[in-house]
Order: sequence, then C-alpha cells, then structure tokens
Amino acid sequence: MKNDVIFVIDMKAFYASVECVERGLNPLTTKLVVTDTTRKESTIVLSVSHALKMMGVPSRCRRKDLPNIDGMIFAIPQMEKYVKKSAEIVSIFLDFVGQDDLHIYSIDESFLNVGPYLKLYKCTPHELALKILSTIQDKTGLIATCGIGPNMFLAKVADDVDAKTSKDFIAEWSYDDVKTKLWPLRPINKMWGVSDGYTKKLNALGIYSVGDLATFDKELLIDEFGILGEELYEHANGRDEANIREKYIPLNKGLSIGQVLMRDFSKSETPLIIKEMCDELTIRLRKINMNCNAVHLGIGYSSTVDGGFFHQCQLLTPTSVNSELYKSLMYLFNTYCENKPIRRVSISYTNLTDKGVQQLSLFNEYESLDDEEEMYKTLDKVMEKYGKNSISRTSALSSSSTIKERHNQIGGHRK
Amino acid sequence: MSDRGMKKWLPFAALVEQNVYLEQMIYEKNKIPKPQVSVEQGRKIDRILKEHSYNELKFRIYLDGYLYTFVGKIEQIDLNKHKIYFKDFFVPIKDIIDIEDPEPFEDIC
Repeated sequence: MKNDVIFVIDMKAFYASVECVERGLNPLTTKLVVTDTTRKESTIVLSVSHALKMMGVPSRCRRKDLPNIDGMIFAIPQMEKYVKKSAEIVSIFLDFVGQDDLHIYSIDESFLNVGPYLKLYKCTPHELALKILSTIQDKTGLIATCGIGPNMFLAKVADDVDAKTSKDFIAEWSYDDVKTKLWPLRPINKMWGVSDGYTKKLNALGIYSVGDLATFDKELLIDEFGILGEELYEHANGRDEANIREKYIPLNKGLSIGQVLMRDFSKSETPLIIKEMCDELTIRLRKINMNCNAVHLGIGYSSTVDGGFFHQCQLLTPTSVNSELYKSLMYLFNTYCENKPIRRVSISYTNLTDKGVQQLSLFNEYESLDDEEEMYKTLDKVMEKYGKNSISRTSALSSSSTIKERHNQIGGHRK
Repeated sequence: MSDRGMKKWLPFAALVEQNVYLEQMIYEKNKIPKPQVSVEQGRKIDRILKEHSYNELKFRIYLDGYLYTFVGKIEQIDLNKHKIYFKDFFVPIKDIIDIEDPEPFEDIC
C-alpha cells in the first residue's frame, strides 16, 4: 500500500477510435461518430471522436441532437469487435503487470498497480506509462490517456482532469498536489464520486469546490451523508485506502434483463417476448449454478399512454427450470397487465440460492422437473458450442419475435 | 477508517459479454508451450507402458496449452493410430509427458 503507484489507463473515444483505425484514418483528427444509422434518429450516439469533441459535440447524446458538420462519418456499431479489442488491450497490460495488480473498471478503463514492478523495469512511473501507452499505440493504433497517483482515487482524478490536456496524455499527481490541483476543482461534481444530486446537497451546505469539502467539518458530513460523507471527506483530502489486490466479488444477488421494443406491442404479442427473455435469463441462471426464489416483471407502456408496473412474486420452491419461471412471470403478466401498447419489458430473478440443498415440496413432481432441467442443460451446451442461433423455439420465426435479432447484439447494440 | 475499499471501484457491468472475451483471452494467454520429452523420459514411458499397462497409472499429459494430471486404467493401446484408450476418452501417445513409475527404480549399489 505504501509503495503503491497506481495507473489509470483510459482509451480515448474508444469505439470511435477503433472505427477510425479500421478505416485507416487518424483517430485524433477524423470526424467520426458511432451510431446505428439503420435505427430511428432518436437512437443513442455511442461514441464521438476526439476531433468532434474538440468542436463541442457532446460525447453523450442522441443522433437527432448532433450538430450538422461537413464530412462527418457515421459508423455502425460493431460491439463484438470493440469487446475483443478491449480484451486485446487488457492482454497488453498483463504483459506488464500480474493479474493481481490489475483491476478492470470498464470496457475502456483499467487500474494498474505498477509500484512493485518499477524496480524490475528500472524506470520512473512516467517512463513506464509512456512505454505502456506507446505499446498500445503500436499494437492497436489506439490512443490512451494515463493518470498516475499514489492511490486509486488520485490516479483516477488525475486522469479525468489533467491527462486529456497534457501533451503526452499522462498526468502525474502526488499527495503534494492535493492542495494545488485537487482543491481548486469546481463545480464539485468534477471530482470522481460526486453525482449531480450530491452537488446540489453539498451546495446547500455551502460547499462549492473540493477545497471547501476538504476543510469542512467531518462529523457534520457523516451526519448528513453517512459512510459516504466520510468517504467524500477522505477523497477530498486525497486519501483512498482501497487496495487493488483485495478483489471485491459481489454476491450474486440477482440477474436481470430488459429490452426496449422497436415498436409498440399489443398485449397478446408480449407473452412471446417474455418467454424469450425468460429463456435468455435462465441460461445465465443455470450457468452460475443457482436457483431462483422470486421473479420480477416490469412492463412499460408506450409513450402515448405512459405508465407501467413492476411486480414480483415468490416461488413455492426454488427452481431453474424455464417453464416454472415462465409460469410465474405469466401469472404476474395476466394479473397486472392492462390492454395498452407495450414498449419496455424487463424481468429479473432474485433471492438466488445455491443448487444442491433445497426444501422439497409435496406438490411438485420432481422427476419430470429434473428431466426438463436435463433437457435445458443439453440445449445450453449446444448453444455454447454452435452459437446461440443454432437452436431456438419455432416461435422465433414469428414476426413479433425479437430473439434472433437480440442474439446478434451485444449490450443492445449491433454485434 | 471505515472505507468501502474496493467496493466503490466496482465496475459498472453493463456488458456481460466483456467477461466472456476476457476469460477467453486469459485462457489463451496462460498457455504454455509443450514440454520436450527427453530420450530417457521417452524410454521410461515406453518401459512403463510395456510392463504396467494393466495397472492403474498416474499420467501427466499436455492438452491445448495446459498440463493435466490424472489417474486411469488403460483399456487399449492402438499402435497404428498412436493413441491410448481409456474408459471414455483417448490420449494421443505424443501428448503424454510423464507417467509416475509404479515401481520406482532403486539403486542396487
């Protein structure tokens, strides 16, 4: 902990840069946006290249909000390529540090603890950062920024605030910089961990910059915000006790899946969508070898009528069999759904328990359930080996089915 | 200090698929080249297969970049296909790296 040197390495306009490199264009000077042009114009813009950001294009917006700029290139998202590229970049990090000293924060952002490796490479943190960034550029053509700090928080803020504007895209902060670089930050939501909601609450307390927060009364902050208040105070003073080697693995509390439909669905068409999503989610449930005790169903009506509902129901016995789960979801659907056009569907499984031990019920026929589960497990294996579209329900051929399309997507965008 | 520790740096896991590709990449990256089997080692394997093929033996094999150890009883040795058959799988003879000697050689002197 004492000798930690943390790098935050962040890819510049990741998706847009990948598209530029693929077209043989310079990712820094090309005007390119990644957005699905086959969808309606209210679809989201996934990524905006560096040159456009410099011209004031917001990095998160919808296609209809884009300003009219000459020579702007529209790229259709290829999610699979981006995820593979991301894995390739992580592979480069693993050439420099061990797996224990790496923390993957998002698809284009990772934390590295290089402290223990500086002696090995015989160089300063800055030199090592240059080496890693140039390796990434040589191997993938992509440009990355790097924040260097004595702990994860300072490294992250250095990357967010300074790295993008410094000349070699590297910003190095130490504890001595807290007063000169961290404290002047304002508005306060420029600091990592402060949301817009917190900004309002903090402003009400008379806190407008990080310096105000750092010198504020700690006890008052704890009274106001609880544990998070203390955390904010420590962060504002440049302290962060997180140890990158203590991997925090969250318990599997629940699984969820949701989709926004491409058009309004009637009440009679929707059960098919629920069935397909139920299949999809149950595969994930079986993969982590858990049973589910409660299901939730959320329905959002079309914007013409607005509203919707979110209800849950408990299962009598924990299960991971598609038909049982579908039955409970349909119970919820039939009980609560009104005859209105439907636009959003989400389902989730919660109260997950380990398979193996369970209370048996007098009312279930376990033999047929076991057989059914065996069948689904076999289907899972086929799908894993030959792709998800290799086997599907006949209903996937009907016009209201979305499953085939969804299998060609990652995170709701085109694969 | 009651810090949340690494909990606050939990990734926002919007892409379930990211982990699939990461696992694949790490699997590929941790592969090792196939170890060389020396002439003596080869002779030892040959001798054990000749003398003890009816016993339960402990094998060390190389498969797709990784080394595995298992105990099994040989069902059949196919010299034409260069494969050793076990109850429900087979191993090409060239992938066997080592077999534990059931009767370790004792120094006579």
